[in-house]
Amino acid sequence: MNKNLKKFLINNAVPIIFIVFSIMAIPVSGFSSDYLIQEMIIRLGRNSFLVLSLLIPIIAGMGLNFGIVLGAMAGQIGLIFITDWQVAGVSGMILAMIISTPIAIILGTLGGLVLNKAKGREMVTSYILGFFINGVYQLIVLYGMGKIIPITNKSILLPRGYGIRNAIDLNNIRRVLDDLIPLKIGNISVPVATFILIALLCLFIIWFRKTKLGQDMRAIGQDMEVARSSGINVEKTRIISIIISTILASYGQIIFLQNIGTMNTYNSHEQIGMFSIAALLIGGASVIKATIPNAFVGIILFHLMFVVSPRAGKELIGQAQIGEYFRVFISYGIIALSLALHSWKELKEKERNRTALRESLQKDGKVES
Amino acid sequence: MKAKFAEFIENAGWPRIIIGLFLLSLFIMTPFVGLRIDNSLTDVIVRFGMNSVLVLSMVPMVQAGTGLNFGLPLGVVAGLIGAVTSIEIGTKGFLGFLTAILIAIPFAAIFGYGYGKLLNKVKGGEMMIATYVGFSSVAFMSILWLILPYKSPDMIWAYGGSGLRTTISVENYWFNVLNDFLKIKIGSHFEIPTGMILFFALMCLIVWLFFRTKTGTAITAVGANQDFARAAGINVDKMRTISVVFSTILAAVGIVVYQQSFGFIQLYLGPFYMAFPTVAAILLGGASVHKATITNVLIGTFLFQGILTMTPSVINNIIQTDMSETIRIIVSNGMILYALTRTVKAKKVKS
Amino acid sequence: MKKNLIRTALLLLLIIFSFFLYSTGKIHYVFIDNKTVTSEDKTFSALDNVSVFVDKEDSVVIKKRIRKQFSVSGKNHKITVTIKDNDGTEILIEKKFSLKLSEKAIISIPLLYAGEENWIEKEKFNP
Repeated sequence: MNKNLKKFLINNAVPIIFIVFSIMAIPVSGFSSDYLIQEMIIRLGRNSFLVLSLLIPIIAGMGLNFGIVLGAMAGQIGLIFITDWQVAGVSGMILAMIISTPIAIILGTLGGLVLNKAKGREMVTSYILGFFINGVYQLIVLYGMGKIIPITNKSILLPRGYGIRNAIDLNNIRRVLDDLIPLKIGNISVPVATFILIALLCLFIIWFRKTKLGQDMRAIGQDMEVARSSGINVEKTRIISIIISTILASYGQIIFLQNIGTMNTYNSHEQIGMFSIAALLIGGASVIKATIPNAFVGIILFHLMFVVSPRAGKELIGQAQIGEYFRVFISYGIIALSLALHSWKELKEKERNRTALRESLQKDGKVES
Repeated sequence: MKAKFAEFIENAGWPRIIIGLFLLSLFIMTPFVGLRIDNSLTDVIVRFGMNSVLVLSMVPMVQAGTGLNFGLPLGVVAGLIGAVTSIEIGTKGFLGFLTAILIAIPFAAIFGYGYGKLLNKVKGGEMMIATYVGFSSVAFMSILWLILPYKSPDMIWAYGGSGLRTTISVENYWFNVLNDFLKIKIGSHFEIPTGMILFFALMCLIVWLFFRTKTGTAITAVGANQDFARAAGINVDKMRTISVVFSTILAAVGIVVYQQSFGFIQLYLGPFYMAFPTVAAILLGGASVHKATITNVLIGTFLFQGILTMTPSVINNIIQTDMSETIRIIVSNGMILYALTRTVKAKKVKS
Repeated sequence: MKKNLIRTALLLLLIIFSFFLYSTGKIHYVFIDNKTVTSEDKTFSALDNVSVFVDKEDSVVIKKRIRKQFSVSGKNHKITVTIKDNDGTEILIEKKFSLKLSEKAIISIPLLYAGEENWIEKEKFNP
């Protein structure tokens, strides 16, 4: 019993640290529970889709897909077009999703191809790939749009006549999904339609894991060579997992931005990968295993800290800035820590296997010690 | 002849050739768009000097097989501690510059030691973890910049708020002390910041000599093949730690050199993304994830800074648009991406 | 072969669906005037106490000599005008109209009130 408890504590060290931290920081911040619950519901609606889009590459053993920023960019291109064409409401949002899908497929294929050439360091490669595609995105949106790609709506162009403005007002689709089915419990409003969509995505992921493709991915995640020898097309399957993740991320970004209501053309996507991954890890996921509950717990804990820490910093030391930096420090630190713990465990395992192998070989007398 | 040419391309790699040709064409175009070539050349040399030591700091870690040092900001913050402390003390001129470096080195050594220990525990996953170690160290230091009790009026906010300013001018302290040392001026537009180049040469010499000592060769052996090195009785973890400490110290020195030429100390989130252009520069110079030489540093820094300096001035004059930032992003990250995807292939062929 | 056929059909369906979304979501501007106009030698003067709403938007009061802009999405629309007479009785006028893509509408309240045919004017709209 005691042993089980210890194991539970070790396995869930990160979420537990965060829960303890939040329990201490909430009273200091002085926020009302109504406010915090409302904030958490908003943020769950806003971020869940993005965080869930990380799950499938993890199944395929490709680690945390920092490449979801590629999807986010695809989503934003969709949003730019519907804003240009002035298509509003839920139709506009769905249209944006339809436009972003082929872009996400192309970017996902590209990502998958690149990651196939960088096996064993997928994470850092997908991270850099995000930066690289961001450059291409800038080239297209800042210099191509309005010049090569026709944009009719002058109000979203920069004064010089081409290139999209830094901030685009998404008034046409602001909160259309969140407010589609209005529901108010006490003082708290719940974006029902958004949650339905998220629930559907969860069902999709659960179903997907059971399909042939999902099983293949799991096999690849466990051992690529074994999977290959059992006739699975490893390269293709890995590419598919990245494509799915990218498409989901593009929808996730559209849902995210319809809630926010304005889009920072050149910044909105940049932090998405980092924040989503931090949230997932805080929820107790690791590089090789992540579940749907991890995603939700992580979003709540991460954003609780996000909301609370600046105020707590202000109340404690008189400076909101400190809380601000503290939260940056924590989110990066937690990623570093989780990744380090994972690598360390993996290394230990490898060493154990190696010594075991050596011993067995020695026993057989094949190797002289 | 043809085979030789193909071999040259194979060795140099397409991205390097394309970028080299691009830079060459920029230089050729310079006079035609109404810019002075000597002026541009001066800019390139100055920026080369500014960044060279930072790029050099990549070498020890790559040689030890710890991968590209995405944790560069850790060394940078150590350098920042040295820089602000030297200003707090109030030392000026070359002495101030030296004070900054001398204070920075012990901090860098301590940080590097911890960082090295951590990286030993995560062999194989160093680069990703290094990135986040760099990020979190910058964020952590941001908190410290707010609460550390520095008093110098040149560094705190004029209107009283607590904490250090986001950018601190070194103009009254050690601005350009290296650049102006033995400066060579040819005509009115061409200058060579001799002191800075000499300092860089000194650093290169130290690195070069280090890799000829017993420890240095041991580090190279570890980088080439850990298992062989271990079998040969080398303490792998110790060698890796030494290389990380060395890299971190060089990064700390590098940022001070950078600041004395740049004129400002950038605190808080300033050093956040510093690792990426630096990594890109050394890769551009022909280094890989497993191998880096001083020559790579020289070529890479020159090419990369050349592109960065020349594109805005030349391209702007041609198309009247500032695309330099976008080009920088594409070139530097494209270069890193190329290196990350290539080495795996080479490994495969070997095994 | 069959697979390709199904794929093409699905793709076509998706494109048709996209056009459907476009037409239902496309924003049209409706300008509503409460200005004195002359039409076929007759003068229709602006009215007091007019409030208007288009589709489900909130009602807006339009004073004399004022033009208001509404943005609505989709093809079919309904305009509801409430006019208070001098003696306090309320008159409610409801009219339906539909717009083609890239069309804007200009509606004149006095003409609508008088029951004239040309109460609505549709124009090509270029942003």
